[in-house]
Amino acid sequence: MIIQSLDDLKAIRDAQKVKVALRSSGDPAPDTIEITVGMDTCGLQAGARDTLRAMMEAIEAHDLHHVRLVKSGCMGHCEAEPTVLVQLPGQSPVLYGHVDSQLGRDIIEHHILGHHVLAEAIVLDTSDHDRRGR
Amino acid sequence: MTTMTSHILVCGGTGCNSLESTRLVEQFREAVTTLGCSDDTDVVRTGCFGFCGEGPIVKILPDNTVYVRVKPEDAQEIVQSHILLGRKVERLFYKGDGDQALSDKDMEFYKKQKRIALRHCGLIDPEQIDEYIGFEGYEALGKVLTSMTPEEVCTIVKDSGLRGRGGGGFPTGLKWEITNKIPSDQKYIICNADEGDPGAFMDRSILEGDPHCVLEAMAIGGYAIGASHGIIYIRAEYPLAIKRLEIAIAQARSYGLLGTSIFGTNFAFDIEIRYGAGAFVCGEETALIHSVEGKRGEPTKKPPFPSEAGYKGKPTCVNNVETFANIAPIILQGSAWYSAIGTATSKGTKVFALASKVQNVGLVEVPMGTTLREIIFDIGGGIRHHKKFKAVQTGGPSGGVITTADLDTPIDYESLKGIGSMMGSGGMIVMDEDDCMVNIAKFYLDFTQDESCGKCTPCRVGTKRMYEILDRITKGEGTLEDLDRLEQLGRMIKDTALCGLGQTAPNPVLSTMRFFREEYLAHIVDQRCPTGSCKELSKKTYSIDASKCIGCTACARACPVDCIDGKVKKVHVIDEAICIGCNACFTACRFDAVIKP
Repeated sequence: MIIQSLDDLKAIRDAQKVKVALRSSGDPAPDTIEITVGMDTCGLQAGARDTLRAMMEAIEAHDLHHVRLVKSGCMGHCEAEPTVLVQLPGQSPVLYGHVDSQLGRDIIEHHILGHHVLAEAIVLDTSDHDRRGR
Repeated sequence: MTTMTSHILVCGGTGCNSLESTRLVEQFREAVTTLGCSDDTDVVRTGCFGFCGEGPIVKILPDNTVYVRVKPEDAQEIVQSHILLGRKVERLFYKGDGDQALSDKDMEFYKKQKRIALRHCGLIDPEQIDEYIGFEGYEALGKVLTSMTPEEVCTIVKDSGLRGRGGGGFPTGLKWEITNKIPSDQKYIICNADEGDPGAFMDRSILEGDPHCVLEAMAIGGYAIGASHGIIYIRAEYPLAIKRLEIAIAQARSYGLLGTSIFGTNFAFDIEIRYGAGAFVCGEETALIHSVEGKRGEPTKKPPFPSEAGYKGKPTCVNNVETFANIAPIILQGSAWYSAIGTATSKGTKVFALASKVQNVGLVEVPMGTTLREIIFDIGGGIRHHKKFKAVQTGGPSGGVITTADLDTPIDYESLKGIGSMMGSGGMIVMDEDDCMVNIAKFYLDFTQDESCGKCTPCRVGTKRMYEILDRITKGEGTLEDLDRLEQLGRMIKDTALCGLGQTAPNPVLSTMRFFREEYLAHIVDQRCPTGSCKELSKKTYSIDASKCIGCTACARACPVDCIDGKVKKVHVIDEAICIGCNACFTACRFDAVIKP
């Protein structure tokens, strides 16, 4: 392929967008939202890999640049695996439990995009230390 | 489309390569395949991270974890534990002074750095042009060709305040403007990648980690001065850099970013690589041009400057690798952005290669005006083995030593000259209390007298004589008159040598004589080398303190010439006639019983 114009160059650049976003995640912007998926034995057993993949696809589908999806070890709520921790900048983290692929996508669509917390799925809301369970 | 959720970045620079990073990449690829996560984990071989002393370096994204000294055998564990289970492999963390650092943002090494020239090193795969384009690559070239005149390009570079990073510090934009203004049917732009200073590896790392940024900047420079032909002059002893450049040039050609009608305009530009045999003098631009022409690498008098009559007698612009690496960001972000970084006379950042006795050997990029103390102690982590800092040599064989007294000088081209050294290409050799300054000066003079091309007498004969005098002093055969001779010779060579090599060759001697005269005197008057580095002078003087020796035999076992005699649990004795003063017994003794001269 021969690049004839800046638009041709931009097309190649756009194809690299997802890769660039992940690669630049080492240097997060102040408004970056961090989502942590518990990926320890307990989480994996309960399907955390599918959750992670579904959330990653949702992030890409909605073209979200300011979300960083990180894997972590056990977060201590083995009874509610897979667990997902959502941390919006300047807000207290919220821990969701029993997150399957569908709930993972819902978190992206409702919590991240709609700023609407999925109260019924919360395991731990650190803002009021109120353990609601499910 | 598969979705990558993790990237494993492995350093593929020369330093880490020699520590089996190539095999490490293979092991990572195998591990992600056998452990079933190859569809969401990308293994990338990048350029240099700069933290060479702790290599091979591995960085995991998106959680930004840095692992150091990773061996091929560790790959399986990292994938199994970190990628699959999210459990970090703590034993491979970098441990500074006992602290455990997790991400590069927390590491002192990276905190004070500002990466412009090295922006893509350790971030992209240098063998993939698409990754470079993903990070705004070739946009500056597109912008220049489609919306700017050559004169405007010269102006923006001139306004940015960028100066030649090869050492001279000549304003780059001005050099381009001068070459632009001289009418000619053919002009040339040359990239000087003949990095010759002992201990310097900035240019090599840029070419290995981000070859496209140099190609792009050369095309921009070609457009600015009116050249359609670019040449990269690189030493043959940089095989990895050459290989990556060849790949990059082929990829750029296949995208039409080199060749005719680039970006659909009528601008044509192509680049070829020419190899140097590794002669130090070929870093001097006139000698370099002769070497490219196939002649002997000897300098000629300036004027005429290469901008008037260079390669094949045509106007030629020679710029250094690191200079080129700054061009694209200046075009994209503007001259005001760039000139806001740095000091009044020196703008932007400078890459330094930290080497020798410093804790974190590696590559660092800092804004101009950063002090030497910040570079050596904050970023570099201080001196190895908790020894005392003695001096730092900047500018390689052309520069001088800087002592503790000047550690707080904010560095730029002028301030370094002011304290008797120079910027040079950016090599920084750190010396501790065990280094003999006469010996250091002798080392550099040995280098320059060997590398002198032999064309002019002051350099050919003068540096040789200076070396001989220094050699005499280190053997204890020097006289006080030798010091005057060194000074006189040094000044004469500086004033009369033809090119930069000779004009700067006496600097290491003159500056060590200025700051460490007492060490020269100790060699001459007291017949003693204060650090014990000069073997001839340390001879006969090692001895054992009978009151401290417990007869453990450690020294006798360490002695390479078997000159230490003694029975177990009896005081040992050194036979001074056989002793070669190698210091092995001193290092071996755990009871401070060996007395060092």
